[in-house]
Amino acid sequence: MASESEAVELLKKAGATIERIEAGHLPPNPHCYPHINFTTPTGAKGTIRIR
Amino acid sequence: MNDHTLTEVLERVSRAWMTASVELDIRVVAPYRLDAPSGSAECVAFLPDFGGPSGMVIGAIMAPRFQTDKRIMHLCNEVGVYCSFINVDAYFDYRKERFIDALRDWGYFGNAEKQPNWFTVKIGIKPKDNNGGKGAGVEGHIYFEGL
Repeated sequence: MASESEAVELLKKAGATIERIEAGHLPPNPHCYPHINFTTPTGAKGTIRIR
Repeated sequence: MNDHTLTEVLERVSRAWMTASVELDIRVVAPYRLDAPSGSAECVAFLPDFGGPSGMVIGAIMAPRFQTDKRIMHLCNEVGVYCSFINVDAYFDYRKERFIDALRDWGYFGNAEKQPNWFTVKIGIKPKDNNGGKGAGVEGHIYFEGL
């Protein structure tokens, strides 16, 4: 699993827009772990888990 | 944004959240000074009804490093509030869709009677398309519309 800085570099190289970096959410949100929310160059939204 | 100082940028993002407060009918304190037992920090905003039962703090991240402020995170943990760091380039001005997207992601934890009418999270099971799309099978995955 990537660290915060490693994930940031991966996303930058992929041309993604970093939206938010945040801790895990409470239910019902399934992203209960630290993560980065991003948008791809084509407009797709994604989440990458970080340490 | 490059022509603005750091202070100007943070003030502008705080103002964008005050605009969101009016446009989306949500409670926002911006800018916000976070006070915790071990110290204080200036933050973009505090949203008392989102992120968790005690609300959430919004911090800032900036290109090129997008480095989160671990001190703000620590202070948030001390006082038991959720914390999210937003990219100031993305939230420099109020844009309804982007702000609603973030708020839905963080979740509403305020008074149910005062929940904004735009806030909806639909939960269901989306079937796997393993039968030619001819109907829902037993298998599937949970989806969270709006997340």
